[in-house]
Amino acid sequence: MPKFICLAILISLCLTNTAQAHRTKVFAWVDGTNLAGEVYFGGGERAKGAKVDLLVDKHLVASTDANEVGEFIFHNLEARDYQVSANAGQGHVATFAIAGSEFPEFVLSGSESTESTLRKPEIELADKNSDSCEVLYEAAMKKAIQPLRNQLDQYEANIRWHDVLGGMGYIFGLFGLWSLMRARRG
Amino acid sequence: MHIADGVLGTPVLMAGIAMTLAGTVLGLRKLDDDKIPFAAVLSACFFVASLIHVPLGPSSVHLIFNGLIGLILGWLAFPVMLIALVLQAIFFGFGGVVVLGVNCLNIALPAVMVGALLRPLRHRIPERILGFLAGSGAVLLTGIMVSLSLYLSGEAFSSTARVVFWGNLPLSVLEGVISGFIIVLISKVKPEVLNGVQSNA
Repeated sequence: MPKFICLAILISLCLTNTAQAHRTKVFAWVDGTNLAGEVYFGGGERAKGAKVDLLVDKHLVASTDANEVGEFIFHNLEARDYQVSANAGQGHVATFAIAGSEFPEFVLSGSESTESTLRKPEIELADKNSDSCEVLYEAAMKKAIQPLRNQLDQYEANIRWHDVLGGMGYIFGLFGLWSLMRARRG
Repeated sequence: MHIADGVLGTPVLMAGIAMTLAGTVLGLRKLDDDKIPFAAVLSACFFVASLIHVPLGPSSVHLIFNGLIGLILGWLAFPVMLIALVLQAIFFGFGGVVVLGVNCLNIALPAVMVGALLRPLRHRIPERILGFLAGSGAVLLTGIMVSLSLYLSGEAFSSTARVVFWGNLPLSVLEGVISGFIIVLISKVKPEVLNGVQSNA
C-alpha cells in the first residue's frame, strides 16, 4: 500500500502543472491606444481565465477575462492614469498602475496599435514630419524593450533561496531572543 | 491559502486581526522553555514548505503542515504561523500585511482544532492514520475558512467554495500522507515530542 501511494505521488509529480495557490502578478503595457497585459503567478505560470478590471481612480471602467495563456487587452483608451486589477480566484488578486504619460502623445493612424503603425513606416515617413518620426521611434523603442520589462517583472516575482535561508535565520533568531528574554526574566 | 491585500472587507480584516492577536497571546503564554526549539523548527518548516510548489495533477500545490503543527503544538500554532507568515509577506509578497490576521487565523485555527480533536485519540488509532487525519483535515478546514472569508467579503460562496474545495482536495490527500509518515517517524525516533505535548496542552 505505501508503495502504491509513493508511485501515485511520483506519477502526479511528473504531470504538467499550472499554478494555483501562490503569489499573483499582473503586468500591463501601452500598445498604441490599447492596453495589453498578462496575469501570472510567481515563477512564471500563467493565470488563465483570470478576471481583469480596468479602473480609473478606483472606479471600474472596463472588465475582461484573461485568455488561455493569461493575456488580456483593452482597446481604444484615452491617455490617462489607469489601474489594472486581476483576480485569479481564491483571494489571489494583483494590481498594476499605468501612468497616462506612457501613452503616446498622439497616434498616427487613429485607434490602430503600434504593430499596424509600424508595418507601414514608409507611408508615414514619406511626409518628412519629424513629429511622426519621433512617435515611430518611440513606439519601436517601446516594443523593443517590452520583452525585457516582462522578464524583469517575472524575475522579481521569483523566490530566491538566499531569501528562504534568510527567513529561516530570522525565525530561529526570533525564537532565540524569546528564550533569552524568558531566561532573563526567570 | 494566502489571500492578498485589497480583497477582504474591513470587518473581516478586523475580526481576523483581533482573533489572531488573541490566539497569539494565548499561544505565547503556553510557550515554555522546552517547547521553544520545537516551535522554532516547526515554524521554519512551515515557512519553507509553503514556498516549495509541488506539481500535482492539473495544478501545483504547496504543503502547509498546519495539521502536524496543531497536533504537536496546539495553541502555539498561532505564534508559530504568525512569524512565518510575516516573513513570507515581507520577503516574497505572499498574501499582504493588512490581511496577515485573516491569513494566520485561516491556517492556525484549523491547526488548533485538529490538534484538540485528535490528540485524545493518540493511543487509540495507528500513528499513520492519526497523522493523515490531522494533515488532511486541517487543509480542508483551511479551505473552508478561506472560502468563508471571501464569502463574508462579498464573493459568491458556493462557486468559490467549490473551487477552493476541489483545488485543495489533492493537497489535503498529499499533506495527509506526508503528515502520516512524519508522525510515524517522530513516534519511533522521539516519541516524547508527542507525549510531552499531550500532557501539557
